[in-house]
Amino acid sequence: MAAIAKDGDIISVAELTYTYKGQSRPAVDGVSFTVARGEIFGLLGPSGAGKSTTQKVLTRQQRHFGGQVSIMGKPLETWGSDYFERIGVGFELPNHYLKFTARENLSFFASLYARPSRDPRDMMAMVGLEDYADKKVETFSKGMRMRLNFVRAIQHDPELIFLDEPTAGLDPVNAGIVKSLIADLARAGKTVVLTTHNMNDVDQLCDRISFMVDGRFAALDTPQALKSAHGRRMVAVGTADAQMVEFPLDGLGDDPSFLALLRSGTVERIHSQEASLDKVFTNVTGHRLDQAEPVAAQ
Amino acid sequence: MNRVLAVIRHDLVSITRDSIMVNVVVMMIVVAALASVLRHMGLYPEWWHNTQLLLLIAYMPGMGYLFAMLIVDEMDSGVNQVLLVSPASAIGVFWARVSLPTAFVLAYAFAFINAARAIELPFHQWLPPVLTLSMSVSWVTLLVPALSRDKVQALGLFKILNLYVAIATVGLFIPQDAWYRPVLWLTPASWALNGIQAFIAGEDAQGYAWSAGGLIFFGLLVAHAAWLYLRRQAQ
Repeated sequence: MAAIAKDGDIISVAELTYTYKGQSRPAVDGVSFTVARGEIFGLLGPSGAGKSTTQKVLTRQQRHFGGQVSIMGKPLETWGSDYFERIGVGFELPNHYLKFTARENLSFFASLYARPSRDPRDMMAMVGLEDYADKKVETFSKGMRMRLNFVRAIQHDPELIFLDEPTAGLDPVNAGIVKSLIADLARAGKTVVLTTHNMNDVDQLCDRISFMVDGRFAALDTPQALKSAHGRRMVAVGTADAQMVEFPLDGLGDDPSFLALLRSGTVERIHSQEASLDKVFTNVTGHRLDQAEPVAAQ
Repeated sequence: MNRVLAVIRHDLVSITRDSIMVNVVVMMIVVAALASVLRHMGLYPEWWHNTQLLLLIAYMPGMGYLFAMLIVDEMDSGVNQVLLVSPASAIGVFWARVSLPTAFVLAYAFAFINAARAIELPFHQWLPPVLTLSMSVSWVTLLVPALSRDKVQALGLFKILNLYVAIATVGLFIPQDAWYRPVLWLTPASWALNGIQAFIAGEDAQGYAWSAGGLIFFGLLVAHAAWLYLRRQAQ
């Protein structure tokens, strides 16, 4: 899958390959894509598909890769430590200095950046942690630590943000707050690369998503396009007697049977038959989200 | 430079937050103070020489252990990943972690030597062997996190490394002409000890030779540990 770089692209990756030492098979095998400024790009796939490796290459945790990677208009390998001034990374698991308070954690990491960071208290207020600013992180729940992870990644106002499962361990209210903040970041022109298994997050946030399987992209498109491509252009109508009747979506307004059913007054529900992203995930990757092992591709 | 200072400041605060680490530092000071008091009270003069050398050798790996555990803790909790994607360079953090404990043990060694005055040698004769011994700090600081997967392994490995350094003190208690004495040369701490003994005996050339040999020996061990440490960080 070739990617054509454009002027507004923050990330441009061409034929990226990465092979771990001692492995014969590459973890990432000829991946190409671009991400535009202000876009939320989803990197999805089963465990071991190469998502984390791709993200590690892009965040310079893995440096010896094949192919071309250009970030913010500059080849990745030519960036110095100033690269880290301009990116933010939120990790999948909470990782903090447990004997330090939340404010001390944020302040310490802020002190490593040349660019000014926002006030830790303001950052914590964004995710409802302001009352816990001076509590040691060892007393925090997983959800609180994840929220602290998130604000640490963005406190220095990076242009490009990599987030790995940012809503993992969060209750629906706090997950909603974090998702709304991610959407705000994109609206403010920040670019977000989101790695997650949460299809609800993907559906709500991502402008485009890619599915990785065995180190390659199996699909890359908008969520809506993928759902349509893997669904059926039908509507299912449920009636009071528990019957489900399907009608073709094309020409639905002129379908006499559908119109008669509507007029009958027995309709209880109508569902379009586009695929859910869970279904797309299973179709494209051959894995079910609740299973570690592959199932036969449907 | 500011980033290195931030890491150093952070490490110092980390040590004060851990009661075991605080105990290690406090005990070093208490033991040195006690030895100095006994010396100045004139008690147990036959033990002054060995006590001074024993304490000099034995406490240094312990300081390395403190900083090694800070790094192991970061690896355990995943915080080192955050450092790796921050503008703080891995090499800068590496130097912060090596220079701070080394500076501390050097300051402590000379404060102790001057306070106790159990062995009277001029500063320029103390310096080479003490520098050699101080390299055990960097060695432990780097090798423990380079080879350990968790804190339990780190503690076990530290005990082995500590023994490797401290075994040199056996040389204080065996005859000078014992046939098995050369076995102790397998640890560079023993070279530093031989250097001090040579200076005490007035054999300056031998004192410098032993110290220089120990410095090279320990330097190689530190270089190897640094290579393993940086390789582990890159993984």
